[in-house]
Amino acid sequence: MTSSTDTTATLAPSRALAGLEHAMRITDDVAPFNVVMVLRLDGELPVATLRQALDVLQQRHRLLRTRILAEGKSYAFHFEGTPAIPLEVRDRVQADGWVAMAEDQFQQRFPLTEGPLMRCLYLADAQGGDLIVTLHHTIVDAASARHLLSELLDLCSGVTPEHVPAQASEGAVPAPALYPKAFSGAGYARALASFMRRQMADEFSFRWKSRGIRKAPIAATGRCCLLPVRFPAELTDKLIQASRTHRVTLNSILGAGMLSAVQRRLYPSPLVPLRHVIFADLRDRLRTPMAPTTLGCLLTMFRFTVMVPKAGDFWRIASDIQDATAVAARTGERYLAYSMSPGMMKMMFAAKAFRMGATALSYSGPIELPETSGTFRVTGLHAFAANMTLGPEYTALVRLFRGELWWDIMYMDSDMNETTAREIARDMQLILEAAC
Amino acid sequence: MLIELDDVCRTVGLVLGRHDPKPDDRIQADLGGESIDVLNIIVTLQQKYGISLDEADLVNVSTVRDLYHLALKRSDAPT
Repeated sequence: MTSSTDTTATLAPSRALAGLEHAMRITDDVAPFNVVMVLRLDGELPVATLRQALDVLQQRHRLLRTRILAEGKSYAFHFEGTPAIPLEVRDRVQADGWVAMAEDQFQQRFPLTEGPLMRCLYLADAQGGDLIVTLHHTIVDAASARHLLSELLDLCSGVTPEHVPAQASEGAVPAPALYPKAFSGAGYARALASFMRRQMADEFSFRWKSRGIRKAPIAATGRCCLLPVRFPAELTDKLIQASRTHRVTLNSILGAGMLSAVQRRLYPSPLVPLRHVIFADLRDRLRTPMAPTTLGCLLTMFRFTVMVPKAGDFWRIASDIQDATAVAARTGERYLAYSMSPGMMKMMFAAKAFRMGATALSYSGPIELPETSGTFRVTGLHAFAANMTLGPEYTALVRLFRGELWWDIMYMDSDMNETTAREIARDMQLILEAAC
Repeated sequence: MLIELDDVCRTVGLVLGRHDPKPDDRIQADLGGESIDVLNIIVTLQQKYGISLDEADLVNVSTVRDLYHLALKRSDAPT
């Protein structure tokens, strides 16, 4: 199925990976850089219906018909010649068996040179099933992932998603080609010089203040483990109200909770500088904004140091995160970080001397999915993004889903065991309850 | 208090430090609002009009006009 405005005839059959896409492809050589989403379903979703829906979905999205080939020292998307989206169906043996299966998806590398960059595993029993959708991170971000799932659910319930146009030219233009004027040409060079000065100042300050403090271990190998946690509606409401009372974003509040809990369990010093990573969207900030219905990895990241005291003022930590975020946003760090990321990843893998951070948080805000879709009902939604031994120690993708905060936490088994990961999650909840 | 589109535009402009935003301007893409600005706009509208805006409703808000319609929906004020 293609739209009436199909322009594939005029589109280049390939284009070079740029910025964060390139960084993610480099990272894939170290650890498969996958995004894993899980839809928990009650009721019947016939496999034939799912198969058909995946085929239509692939026809609607050019990036689902893509593979990645090396071109000199770089890589390029090639938009042709990929097989159908693989679908594997297994019996669901245990209700929470999906967690181990989702963890396995992080170990399985995509055949990048053959494509496609999406696959599905459906764990089914008489009551329903868990649909595990895995994509390579180069073609999806949080904004487009939620729309892709919504589109897939529509197709599975026999509805043609008219509100989502078929994406005939998807992936044709890399994000840097659409940067605003202030971050192109000479403007980019000026902003980059300023960005590098800030990064170096932060690096020196971090090293100075971290003297004598625990250093996160760097293991040769490690497995990415998953821990799904939900905050009850009552606490979620309190956090939203506290956000408005204190005029601090929910993203900053949740980040402060994470940092405080990680400090408590992993960094026993009274005052610790911790690196925190948050993610921002480029889609609305391009010369031609890109709709979230268009697949692509158009996220970027802000990384900064926060001083975290053992027993300090929670709201000061949250404000510090918010202030650091505001500076990064105001100075255009979203564009610079996106473009600089391949160099940063190469340096990190070559040196193997430092971790990206202590914590990373991706807060997606409210997510809407239809509660019922034809013969089945969506009862849960989880999403995880791959981590590695040089990545942050404690990472979470968080969303507001049906009135509750759903935390999907990732940690490396080389850093901590499940007990410690659960203790940090429990501390996080206690700290946030106490704060509001 | 009566909620008017012009007043919502003025409020958004004040919070963002923008002169004369238009109803169809997108708060983030066109007016450069960051998440903290969106939070400040929400709190200001809540205080000004005595309304409560649900977090989940905000997912469909892109433009100043969307925000006005949401505020209207959440208020008992005559239109």
